[in-house]
Amino acid sequence: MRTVPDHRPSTPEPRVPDPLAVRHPPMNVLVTGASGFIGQALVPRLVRAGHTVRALARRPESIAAAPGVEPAAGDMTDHASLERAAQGVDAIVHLACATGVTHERQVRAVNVEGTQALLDAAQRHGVRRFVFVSTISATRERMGSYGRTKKEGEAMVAHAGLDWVTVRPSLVYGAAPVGLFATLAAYLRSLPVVPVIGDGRIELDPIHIDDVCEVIVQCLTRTDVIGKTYDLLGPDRVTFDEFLARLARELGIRKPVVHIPGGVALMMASVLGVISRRPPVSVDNVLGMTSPARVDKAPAQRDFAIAWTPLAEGLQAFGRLVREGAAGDGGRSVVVTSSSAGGLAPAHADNGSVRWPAGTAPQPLRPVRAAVVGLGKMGVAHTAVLSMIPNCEVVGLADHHAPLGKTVRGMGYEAPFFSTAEKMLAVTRPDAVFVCTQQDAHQPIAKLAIEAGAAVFVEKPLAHTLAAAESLAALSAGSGLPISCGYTLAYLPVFARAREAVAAIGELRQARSSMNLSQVFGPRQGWMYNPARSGGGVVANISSHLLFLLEWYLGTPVEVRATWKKLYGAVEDELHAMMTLPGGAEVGFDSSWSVPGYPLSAVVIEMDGENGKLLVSNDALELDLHAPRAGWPAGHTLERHADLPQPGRFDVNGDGYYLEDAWFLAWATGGPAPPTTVEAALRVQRVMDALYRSAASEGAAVQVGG
Amino acid sequence: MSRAPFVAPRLLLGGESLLGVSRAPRDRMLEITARFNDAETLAVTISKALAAGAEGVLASPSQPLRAALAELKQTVPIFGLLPNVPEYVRDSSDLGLVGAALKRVKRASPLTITRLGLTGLTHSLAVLKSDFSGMVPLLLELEAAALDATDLRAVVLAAPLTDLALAGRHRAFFEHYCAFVRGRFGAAGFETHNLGHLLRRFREWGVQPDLVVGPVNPRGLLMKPDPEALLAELRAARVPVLAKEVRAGGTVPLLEGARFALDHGAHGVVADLVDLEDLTAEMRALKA
Repeated sequence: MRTVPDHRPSTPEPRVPDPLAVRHPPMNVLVTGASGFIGQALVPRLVRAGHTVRALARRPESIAAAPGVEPAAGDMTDHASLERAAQGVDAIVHLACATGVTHERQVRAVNVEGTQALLDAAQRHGVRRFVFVSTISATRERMGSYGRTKKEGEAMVAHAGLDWVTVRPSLVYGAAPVGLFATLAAYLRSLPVVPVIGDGRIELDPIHIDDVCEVIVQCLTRTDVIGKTYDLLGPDRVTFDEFLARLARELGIRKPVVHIPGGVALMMASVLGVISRRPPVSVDNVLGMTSPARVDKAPAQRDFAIAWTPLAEGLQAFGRLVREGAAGDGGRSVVVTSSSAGGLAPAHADNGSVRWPAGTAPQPLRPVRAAVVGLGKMGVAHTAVLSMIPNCEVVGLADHHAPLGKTVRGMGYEAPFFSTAEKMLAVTRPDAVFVCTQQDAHQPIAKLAIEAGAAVFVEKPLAHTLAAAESLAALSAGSGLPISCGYTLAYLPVFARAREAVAAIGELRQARSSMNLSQVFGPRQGWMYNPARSGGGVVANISSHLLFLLEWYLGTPVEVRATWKKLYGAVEDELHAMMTLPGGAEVGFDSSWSVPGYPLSAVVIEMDGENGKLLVSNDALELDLHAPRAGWPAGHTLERHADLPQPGRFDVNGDGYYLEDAWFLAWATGGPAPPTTVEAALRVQRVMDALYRSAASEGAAVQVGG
Repeated sequence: MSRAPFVAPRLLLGGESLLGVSRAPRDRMLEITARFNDAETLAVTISKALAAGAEGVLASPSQPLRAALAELKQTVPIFGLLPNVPEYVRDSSDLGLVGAALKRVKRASPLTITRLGLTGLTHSLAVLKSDFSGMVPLLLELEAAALDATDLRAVVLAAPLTDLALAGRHRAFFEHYCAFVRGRFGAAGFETHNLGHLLRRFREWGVQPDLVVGPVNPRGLLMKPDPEALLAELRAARVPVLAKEVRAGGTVPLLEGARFALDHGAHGVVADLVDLEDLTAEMRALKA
């Protein structure tokens, strides 16, 4: 099984030796905006120069752990966090800013008020050196809110009484999954035509990320640059169309370019700015493409003895990384430094199943970009969980129902929203996609995601029909990309522990099982109650969880006989079955969502073997053995839910969602496969299909998979 | 008329098990829901709890609670745990999120509708943007009215909503919630199943609600992100924390669980109906 490509930003060795780094004592440096494009490249560069770095980000878990780096939580609008971050540091590199945000108040809160708060904190804590990373947008003839507020920030920095240096980079390019250049590359790869604002003849001087970092590192220690403002421009001036053409050539892409008149684009951006907090195109973007900047590259070239990267060389290096697969797809590029998974290594339990070390949770083995399709109850739950998993960034949300997107974003989730999965995949290029739609949409959306190169998590059941489920399994096998299915109960500690106890009871004689819920007591609306969309009633929507556990514990039955009751509509509200295992043992299965007394779904499985009995429920497992076996003692053993380690790091209706999501992401990044693989889910789907065929035939014996 | 300053309670009777969603073993939970479905039994129990030292009841709107409050002659301080999430989830699986909300509007009294309109007006921008900061106050208006409480001391946001906003790092929501609830209802609290995460965020953001309710017990059950991190945050917390789930799903004696929570910095304890074997004696012991 191959894993999704690694898209971490590269940290290439600096091409220019830094003699200053060895002549100056190491410093404690606070870097704001450490998870951004420049920040991700700068932090390791500072460490290599001998400094220690406090890397401030809204999501510190997105900062790769490394010696010399202290990830810290902070937000430019949270002045207390800035106060804490400034304690004990010698210098500050201020990268954080609000870009792509249209609301003036929000932009000011970050770029002006946040900068002032950071300056105040620096003064209070005796920080002397302050390197402010501004923008050439602050020099344009016409400025939007971004340019205006950065210009105000420059003035505040200059009057703060610190040893300050301000740098204004032009368009920064290089291998990284974030930033304007990454967006450009992503558009180039994903859109059928490339929209360019204005006539494309505006000139720019793109600068390589390594050169920007080099300048910043020098600004931290040199005294001759204090009190100066530098325009940071690359050595080659090109028109925007030419830049785009060169980039496309290096990526091996030929796409037509469509020019959008500046006035039209400005109007569109203004309107989008009113209706969206983070529009795809902002007024500042438009002005950046139509209003020339008043810049002067001479002072920086004079004061910094740097071998400035020629544009051709920088773009060729980027193209090479892409072709070698290290840079992934333009917008979600690159590479390749190894970091451990926090020392977490999965272990193989005696029965061959994989367990994570007791008390620990799985986690992605490297940073991973996840997207969620379908923003109903399950989609929201997964979005919340994913937001709390280390090394995971939620990069896109999609639902055909736009108000749901607003609702989820209104809960604070800031990932871009799209009305179709296609658009989201094209723009965000996620590594992993969580499909949380109604069942009949699972297969088509998963197919799109697989075709886009993403690993896929599909909510249970795998699909609304056996044919669609088989198609999903074939997609996974054909692409080599992981697909997992949301049979959450397998991750709850008590049910996972019970699987380890199954071997102790020996050869199975018989088993009984039930799963009940109090949910349906009258005619219902909604897709869940429409068999064409959901694939069935209580079994498809609820007790396929129980079918998974039975399959996981006991294997796949060969034959089933089932009856159902449709009390309130077109789908079954109850289903009762007997299933025959290959060895001849019979397994009873009872399920209803129309019985009182079950505000939460409740599972009970009783297994009777030649060496004893095992009973497992949501509350506990109880084992009664005639003789010790498989590490379990003779006699009665009781392990309650509360007795078992609860390794999930965030609770959304229990540990299950966190553990299943984190393990799936671990799998997608090279870790071991979870129990709920597409193959296992397909076996469950075959049993479910057989149950439905039997029930439709009034209890006739039906072969599973037959 | 200005309200008296809020003092966080040390001991509350919890009614989460009335909804059938406690972490206690299923048999025990069924016994509790069956027993307290009878309004008189629940009323007597609440009365005994108050007499034994409980400073109020933490509960969501439910028919048994409304009936019991109607039975009681005395005023019962209510700490409203809002909304009733299990009921809302059940409705939304049928009607969708908006449909579930409309169902509540339809059964609201004219006074509640008026309050809803006023709150909607003052939150119109946030509502238009579907911002949580605007939507939750509307839901609270509906759910608080459904409590039928004459002495509503505090509104405690139910854990599923708190934790969604927490994962969304929606600081502005938490700040607005506190301001709104204090102005409209009284004290503002949050229930959470991710207590360590929430306390850390409150510390970082400088957000100070009037109380927080979350799981603390010697078993580490439901203690996120992990028991050690949670206890460290609890010791450093500047917000009064009321420990719940102190019995860790029935595996720890009530007094032992409560002692553990208080020793680690909890301000007080919520003892749920399902946690209590001998209500009067245990409540008195807890109060002591």
